Amino acid sequence: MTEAALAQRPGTIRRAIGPQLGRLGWVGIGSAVVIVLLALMAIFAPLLAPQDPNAIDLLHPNAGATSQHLLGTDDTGRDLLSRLIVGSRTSLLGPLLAVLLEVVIGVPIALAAAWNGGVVDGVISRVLDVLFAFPGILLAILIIALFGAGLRSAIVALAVAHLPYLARITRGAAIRERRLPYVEALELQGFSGIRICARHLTPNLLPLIVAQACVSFGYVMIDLAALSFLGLGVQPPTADWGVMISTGEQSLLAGHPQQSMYAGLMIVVAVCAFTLFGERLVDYDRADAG
Amino acid sequence: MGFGAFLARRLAALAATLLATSFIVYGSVYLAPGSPLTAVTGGRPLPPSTLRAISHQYGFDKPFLTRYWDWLTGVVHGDFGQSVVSHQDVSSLITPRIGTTVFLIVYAALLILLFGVALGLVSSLRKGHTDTVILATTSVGTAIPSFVAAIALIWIFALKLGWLPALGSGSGFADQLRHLTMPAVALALAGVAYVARLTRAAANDELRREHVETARGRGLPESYVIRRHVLRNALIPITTAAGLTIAGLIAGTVVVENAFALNGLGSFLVQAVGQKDVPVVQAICLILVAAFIVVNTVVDILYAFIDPRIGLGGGER
Repeated sequence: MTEAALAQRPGTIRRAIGPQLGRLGWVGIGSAVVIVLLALMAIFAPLLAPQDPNAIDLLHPNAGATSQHLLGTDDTGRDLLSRLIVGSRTSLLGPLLAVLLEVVIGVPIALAAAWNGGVVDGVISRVLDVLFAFPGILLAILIIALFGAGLRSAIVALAVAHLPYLARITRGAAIRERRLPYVEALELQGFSGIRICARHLTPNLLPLIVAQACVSFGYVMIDLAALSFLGLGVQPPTADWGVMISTGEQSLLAGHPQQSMYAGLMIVVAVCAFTLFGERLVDYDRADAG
Repeated sequence: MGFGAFLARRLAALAATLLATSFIVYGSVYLAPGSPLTAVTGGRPLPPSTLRAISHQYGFDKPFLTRYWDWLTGVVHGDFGQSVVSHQDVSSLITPRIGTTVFLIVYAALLILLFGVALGLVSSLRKGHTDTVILATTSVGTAIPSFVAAIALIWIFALKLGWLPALGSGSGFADQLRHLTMPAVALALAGVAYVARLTRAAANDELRREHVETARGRGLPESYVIRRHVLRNALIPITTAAGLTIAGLIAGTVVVENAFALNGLGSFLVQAVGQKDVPVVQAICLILVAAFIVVNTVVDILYAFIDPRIGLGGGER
């Protein structure tokens, strides 16, 4: 048998990442549509934003909706619609980078633990256990306290903070996968562990990894927005939803809730879409594997 | 394995985890760019006496593990060193703020236990519209971050209705209760939604069981069946989920305290991060993480205690 043929096994043949839409249900499809719309908004933000998001107009602070400012202005007269649109970039790109980093570090660690077992697995598992015992946002705050506030520290901090969960789940699945006959067959053919992990285990685990990464995206997004809200993540005057909630709180106390409200709404919609879609993918993967 | 052995095992694991996290909190200073002394002081010029006090506290002239051990012995005795901003003992800065944070966590925990379980039970027992509405609300509820909830609550209850104060912690029990109501709701919201969904699922599982049918068939009153057969069994998964959710509140206070300008540990932590007051950051991180780990362990032990069927082996997870 060839290497490729050995990897084919019933039920979990290299599945396409894009699952059949029908099985996702209307919640899955709806959240997928929202995710696509949000991504398009972030990509084409400069074209979509009707005005310069940082243009200050001190003559019209906290204005209501007008034909010029469709959603009104903030406390320094900046156009809220433009800031919401441009703010989608840091608010979505930040979590995306953090989750990618999480996968790039977490999956190899998990595979190394699952493949080698024994002492390597023991050490990796204990380290993950300890990191797991650390609430994510506290670990992020500790890291930011030492490396300074800003988007870059926040992304690295959140990747490290959310990594244990992804790594644990991937390790568990990889251990199950490693016990399957095709892996042994490949080993007997003399393929190296690294090659089998990279060429066979990873593709077979990919649906699970993508599903978990999607769920993780929702949580990272909340945490990043929280860090920005605390003044530890994205720094003003950059347009960002978390920052907008925090700067909007002052206006809100003065009776102008629009900035905080719109930014909060965007976060809730985006987090809902990513977690619901991720949970669908997890269910889908479980149904396939089970 | 008996319960005593199980307990000893859990407590040993607790001690090991606490030790490891304290090592992370302490050792993190050495990962930061620049010399550890700069990391601790945030690079600001300080009077030599303070620098010497810090050097002594952190023992920069001794080997790393000795320094860690000295620091840890200090911590165990409640000595977290000196703040590099106010030059006061960290412990004396922290102590007056613990009350607000504990009040907030306990308040939010009660809300989660009360409303989470009640909503879930109602949802499970009243099929149809009530169930649908509760299910939809709680689905969205789990995705609402505490700071978004905080903003909405302040707008509605403080500014529009004027029922509750927007900011501050208040003084005296009744005043604190009033001031901390909105923060507790904001903190508890996602947890209430989560526990409600879980209670609904657990109760639905039990309702389908044969022993419930049998109890009904024996002609026992419905309220008795719900209490003794449904709720009692459903409580096992609920306890774990609620316990872990409540442990999660400990880190959540950091955000909520800032949103409502409360004078607790969380807002002090963020303030200290802004001022690069590393000893304060380390102390508060350590306290919050330790509380988190202890609550998790208590939930674990409680779980084994209320459900004797659970194998006490505890090795495999």
